[in-house]
Order: sequence, then structure tokens, then C-alpha cells
Amino acid sequence: MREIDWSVFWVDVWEATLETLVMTGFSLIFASLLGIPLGIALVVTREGNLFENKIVFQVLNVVVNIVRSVPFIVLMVAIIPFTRLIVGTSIGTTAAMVPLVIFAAPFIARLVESSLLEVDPGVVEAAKSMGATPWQIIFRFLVPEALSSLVLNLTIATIGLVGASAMAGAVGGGGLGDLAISYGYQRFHSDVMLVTVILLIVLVQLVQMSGNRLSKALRRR
Amino acid sequence: MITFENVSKQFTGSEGTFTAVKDVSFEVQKGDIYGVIGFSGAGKSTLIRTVNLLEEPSSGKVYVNGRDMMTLSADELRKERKKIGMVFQHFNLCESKTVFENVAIPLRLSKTSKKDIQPRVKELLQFVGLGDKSDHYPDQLSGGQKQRVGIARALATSPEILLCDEATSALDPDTTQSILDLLKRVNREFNITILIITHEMQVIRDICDYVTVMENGEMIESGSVFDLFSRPKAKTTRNFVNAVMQDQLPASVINMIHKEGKSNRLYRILFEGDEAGQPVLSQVSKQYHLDFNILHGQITELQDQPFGNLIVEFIGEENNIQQAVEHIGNRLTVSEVNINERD
Repeated sequence: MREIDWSVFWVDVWEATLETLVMTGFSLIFASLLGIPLGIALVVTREGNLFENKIVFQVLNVVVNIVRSVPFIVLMVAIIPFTRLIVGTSIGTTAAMVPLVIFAAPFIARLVESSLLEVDPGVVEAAKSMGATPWQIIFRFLVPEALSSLVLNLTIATIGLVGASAMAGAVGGGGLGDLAISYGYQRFHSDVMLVTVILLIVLVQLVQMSGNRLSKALRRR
Repeated sequence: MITFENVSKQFTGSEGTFTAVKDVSFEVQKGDIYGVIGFSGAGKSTLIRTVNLLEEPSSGKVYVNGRDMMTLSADELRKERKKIGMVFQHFNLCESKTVFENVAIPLRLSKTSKKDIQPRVKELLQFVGLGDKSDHYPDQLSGGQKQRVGIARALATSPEILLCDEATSALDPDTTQSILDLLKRVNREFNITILIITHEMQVIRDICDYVTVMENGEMIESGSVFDLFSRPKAKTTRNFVNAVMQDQLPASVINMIHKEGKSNRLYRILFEGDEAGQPVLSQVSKQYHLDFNILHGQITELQDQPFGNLIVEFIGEENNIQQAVEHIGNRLTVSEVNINERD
């Protein structure tokens, strides 16, 4: 075991942090683009809701459950062919984002679903009585009323993604997880392990704090 | 304006079919304030929701302005709903929006131009007495203020009809009164027809012109508020009337009569309309040499007419009392009260 050259090492840490941020950020964006509409669909196709449709609801419900039952580390390996098809490779930061999105989207869908279900049904009834169209009810009543809770729930998803992105490091995805495994675990540098863990803690704290602030600002009081 | 024709509504659940509304028919005329009263579970909430089809009747028809609501396309139905304002027991405001934005929503939904929204919302907030609360959020308001926002919102699109679903039931008595006064102004100033459902007889007494009493999904009595208060027929109706118009002798008075061992005759006299202003008691007292003793009574106003209900004891010769009662009976409604028998 050789001593680490810290002056070089900090550059690696900086790069790994950026990789983690990029992986988490882009995965969050793509997973939200999939998960938010999916979550809305899970609410409005429910029995007695705006676009009640038993078949669509059941299909979405089962698909979301199936994807959510696969542990991330298994999912990552299991969909390698699919990842190759999408981004042309199965190694690296870009490749890691495909399983991250597939992992996070159904999770976000469930979180969005629970936020929207919290909205007082009386508000929807009032919206109907005003002659609002179903789309107006979703985007002018349901979503704005749920916004504060949606932000808190998306914060949970973001933190989930930070954790998953570290796992993606284990299969060559880069990022802080990769650094921790390859230096800290495989080469027995516990000080490197400590640095990455501290960075992850700081990152999660920052995400949670901004989420709380934003959610509170949206609740306006 | 609103016609219910044999409206019934069944709900089918895991425990079988439940009939919430059974064969209800009545008509609400333009410009009236029409009340539907009943205990909770009487089906009145379901009934009011059939007007704007928040609930579809299982059978029967609902006509609004002569149009059968069930035959409308989804788009036509939304247009009709914009002409029917609705106010709710729990206000149903958007908590994430300011008072201004809450009132502006119906206008925004109808794509009203921004420059027209501003003055209209201001005007509505002035009307309901919340001109200074424009930028507040609903959780900064009291229950009564929230309901005022609800009313302003319901009036935004200048509807012809206002549906009030237990609009005062979540409010304390003082606030209830102020909201009732506001609803009366809505009716008088904008000539908006109001259908209000409630379990509080005070609401019926204070603002309604006509009333239907519902029990177990059925209409049990219907008529002008004046008739219903002065001559309630069904037992439930009498109970509702008694809740605000005490026409039974209180126990303390009955005890007093029993204690004194008096056998004098007690009469209930109803004073209605113009006759309520006549000094009938003092006239018969002089003419038939009787003393009278008012044991219990209440005078109130129904549909802007005075209405009184007195229980009076006459003291004097039996013959004279008979004649006096006949005399009163020519002009007012009078009946003997038997204190040993209570209903």
C-alpha cells in the first residue's frame, strides 16, 4: 500500500463530485419527466377520478410495482443490453444514468401520486362546479395545491438518487461512489473512504435543506 | 329556474344499494331563496349536487332554466356550470393561492382578459367586505372570511343561480348571521336565485322564501316558510320549527301552574301578518271582563312579516272566556293547550 499523493488526489475528488452531481442532476430531470406524468396518471385514472380507467390504472400500477421491486444493483446489471441500446455503452457516467432514470422514475411516480392524493377532494369538487375542464383541474388546482408537498417528495427522490449513483460507481459509473470503492475499499485507503463519505453527507444535507426551504416558500406561510 | 322531477339517486356499494334521494320533485322560481332542510344523511347534499351534475341522478330529471342537464355534452355542461355558482360547507378554497387569486380562478378558467379580471375581483371583494384582504392566504382568514371568499368566487362569473351546500354549518352563530345577511344581499342586489341546504332552521327562518323538509331521502313537507312555521304538519317539521320557535310551555312554567293548582284555561294564539299588529288581547280583556296572563311567547319575522306565538292564560267567567276565544278566533288562529298532554 502506497501513500496517496493528496495534491493529485483532490483533483480526482473534485472530478468525482462533479460526476455525482451530473449523474444525479440529469437522472433527476429525466426521471421526473417520466415519473411526474406517470404519478399524475396514477391519480386521475383511479376509480371515481377525472379520467377513471381501470385497465390503464392497473397496468401502470403493476409496472411501477415491478420496477420498484428490483434492487438497484440488480436492475443496473439486468438492463445492460437496454443501456447499450440507448447510449451505446454500458460503462461510464452516461451509461449509469439509464438505470438511474429507470430506477427513479417509478419511485417519483409513487411520491407524486401520494402528494396529489393529499389534495382536498373538496377543491376538485369546487373546480368542477366552476366548469373547469379535466386538464384545468389537474394543472390549475391539483398540481399547484400539491406543489409544496411535491417539492419535499422530490427532495426524497433526489437523495435516493445520490445514494443510487454511488452504487452505480461500483460498476464503473464514476462519481464519489466509484472513488470510495476503488481507493477506499479495494486499496485500503480508509482516509479516502472518509473524505467521500463526508462529501456525500454534505451533499445530502444541502439537498434536503434546499428542498425544505423551497417547499416552505411555496407553502407561503 | 330549477326544476326537480322525480329525482332519485342510489349508491351501490359493497353492502348493497343505498337510496340517498327518493322521488323528489319541486320547483325553485327565479329570484327566490329556496331552502332544503333535513338532518345529516337526509339526502339533501346529494340532491343539491344533482343541479350542476356533481352527482348524476339515477332516475328523474333536473331542469335548469328549462334545460335538461342530463342531455348536455361535456362542453355544454361546463358552460352551464359557469352560470351556477356553488358555495361549500368547508369553503374548498385553494390554500396555495391568495384571496385575490381564489376569486380570480373562475375568470381565468373562462379566459377573461387580465385587464378585466383586476377590477372585477376588486369589486367582488368590496361587495363581500374583504377589500383589504386581497393579498392574504386562506389560512390567514377566519371561517367567516373564508366563506366570504367562497361567495365572492362563486359570484365571479355573474351566475344566475347560487347553490349553497351547508354554507353556514361550519360557522359560529354570529358569523352565521353575517353570512346569511350577505346571501340575502346577493339575492336582492343581483337577483340571483339561491338554493340552500342546511340542517339549521335559523337559516330557513332568516333568509328563505320557500322550504322543503327532507327525511331519509324523501320530501316530507314543502311550502312557503311562513306556512311551514305557522302550521307545520309532519313531526320532523315541528321539531325543526321548535328549534327556533319555542312553542311549547317550558317545564318551569308547567310546574308553576301545577303548584298553584290553577285550572284556568290556556290558549295558544298565533299572530300572523297584519293582524299581529292589532291589540286583540287588550280588546277582549275589556270587552269580556277578563284578566290575561302571558305565560310564554315569541315574536319574530318571517319573510319580512311579523309572526308571533303566545300562550295565554285567561282568568274570568267560563262563559266570557268562551266568547273571548271565539272573538279572537275570528281574526287569529287560537287553540286550547292541554298541559298534561305533550307531543
